[in-house]
Amino acid sequence: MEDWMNQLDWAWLQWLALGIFGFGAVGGALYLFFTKNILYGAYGLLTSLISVGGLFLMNGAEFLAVSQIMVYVGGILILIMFGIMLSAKGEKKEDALKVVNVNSLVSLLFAAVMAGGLIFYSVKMGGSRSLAEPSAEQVQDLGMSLMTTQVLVLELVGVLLLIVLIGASYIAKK
Amino acid sequence: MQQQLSHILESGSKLSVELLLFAGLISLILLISFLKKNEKARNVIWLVSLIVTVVSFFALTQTFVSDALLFNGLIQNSSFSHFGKSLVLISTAIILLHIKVMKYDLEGEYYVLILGIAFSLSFLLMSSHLLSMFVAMEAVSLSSYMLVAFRQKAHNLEAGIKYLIFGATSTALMLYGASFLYGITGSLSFAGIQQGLTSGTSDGNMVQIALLMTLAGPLFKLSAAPFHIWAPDVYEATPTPLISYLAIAPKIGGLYIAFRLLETVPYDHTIILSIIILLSILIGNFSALTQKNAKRMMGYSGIAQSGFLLVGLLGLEITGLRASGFYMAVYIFMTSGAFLLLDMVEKQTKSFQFSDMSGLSQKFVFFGIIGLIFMVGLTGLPPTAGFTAKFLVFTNVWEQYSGGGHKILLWVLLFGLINTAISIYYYFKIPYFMFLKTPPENKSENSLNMTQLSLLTILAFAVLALFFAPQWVQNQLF
Repeated sequence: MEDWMNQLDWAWLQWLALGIFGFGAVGGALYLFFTKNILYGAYGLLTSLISVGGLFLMNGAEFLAVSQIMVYVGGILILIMFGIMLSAKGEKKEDALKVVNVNSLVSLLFAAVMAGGLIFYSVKMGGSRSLAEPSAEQVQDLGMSLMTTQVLVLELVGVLLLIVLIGASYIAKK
Repeated sequence: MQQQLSHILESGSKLSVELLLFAGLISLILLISFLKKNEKARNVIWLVSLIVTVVSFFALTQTFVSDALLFNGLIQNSSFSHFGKSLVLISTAIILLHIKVMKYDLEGEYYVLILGIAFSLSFLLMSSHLLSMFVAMEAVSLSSYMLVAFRQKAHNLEAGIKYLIFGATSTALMLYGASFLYGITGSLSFAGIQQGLTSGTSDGNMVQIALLMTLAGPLFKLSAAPFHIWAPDVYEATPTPLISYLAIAPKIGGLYIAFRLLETVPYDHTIILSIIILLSILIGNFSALTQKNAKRMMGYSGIAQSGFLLVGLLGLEITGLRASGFYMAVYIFMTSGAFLLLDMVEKQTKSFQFSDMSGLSQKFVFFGIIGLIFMVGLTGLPPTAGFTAKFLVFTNVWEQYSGGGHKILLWVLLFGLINTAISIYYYFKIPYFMFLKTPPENKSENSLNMTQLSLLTILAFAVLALFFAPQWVQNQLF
């Protein structure tokens, strides 16, 4: 067992995992784009979001990966599912989940231009700046900076949530 | 660590205005929870919010301005932000008075949101860091969406959702652009980004694209092109005092952030900014021409006016900036006055259509003359401060151009002047209908309320007085 582990090329494995997550992210998004069924579309979105979480993890951003899965997969996707459940209705059973994609050519073109531009510039700037090595105690560092250097932002978010809660409960009241 | 904590405590002691506003916010929430739900309680809540605004304004005049960075570079209390904050508090006070004199019986939650916008704007006006800018801007946006949707009628909710969707799109663009700026320079603070861009070997095109995307946030707040689409619908659906507030207060923050971002990226922005200005003026003016509803017309006029506001930022010279600041100050009085005028007209005629205003001034001559002042001011003709403001921003453009500036500056100048002439047509529609058209036969014998007329007169006096004594505002300017 030990020998086998040592012989394995870890860098190669890392690339493989990155590839799988990248493929999942792009594939899920493409599936979401082309599907005609809104529920399947939600599953495509799920695949895409989890894979993006995986990409964050592979790049050493543990906290971001966990919050990606908590917020998007755990929160927003469940909300979408409930939205579909509560709002789906149609004449026939098949119609209930049917969606039509308008302007698909324009949006595909836009996405292609965006992706092309991003790839072009990130390749061009790739070596110009070295990133700091991720620290081992990321979450602890984050907590410390939220309580010291960035404490104002934390407080402001608190006030924002207070105002939004009051407004949301007022709108939902009647 | 010890040093950190003492720096935070020291910074906190310099936020007297914001702390006062926050204390007011909390006391409003307590009052809403513990007072009975009747008209008397709502009057108390209104009074408390007015007192909080006025006290904060006086606290602001007492605070000492320094350019020192607070909270580890998150915010900076410069003289520019000091001026912006005083404008925010003045407009808040005007709107609260507008609500009272027009006898709107609003529930306490409205005042929480109005003070919430003032609170978040004062942080937006101090931000010198992408993080604090984003959080403060989101607080302003979210409160505005809710104010639009608060009345819970179908068309209010529709306007609110439209506002939310356009706002979320522009926020997403802004965040995307900000992430590029961070990726290129490795810093989130404006000073750090500036340093990273001047010393590093970054790609110019990429930086320009990132800046343009980041500008989506402030341009949406200004309702400048191409982020203006929400304006007419939201203006039409929202109750008049609230839209009067949303038309002026977020623009102050948007103008400040647009300036800070343009200043942060050390490139020549003349062409990009000129295109934004030309588009805003063009779209706003030509769409306003065909409107039949006065409130919708004000929405398009707001788009054109934000184009004129941005003219002062061309070249990022201090004189231009002062011109924009002066324009903003005058704009507050003109716009809140125009909305109060429309609200009073609506009380008489029960609609915002131009055709229903026919002959109103023949009955109330003084009222019509006061109304005329605001429209003359919005057009930018003497003897109102609207003329002084337009004159100052265009002087800035001319100085830039004659000092060897880009050719497009001449276009901005000519185009702005032509469009000022065009705007006469739609702004003067209101006095035209009120003075020259014959009133309908079935006259209702409503008389004008004296308190409403006196508030309108005070606002009109401010518009006139700033023409004869612009130094009242200019001495306050940074």
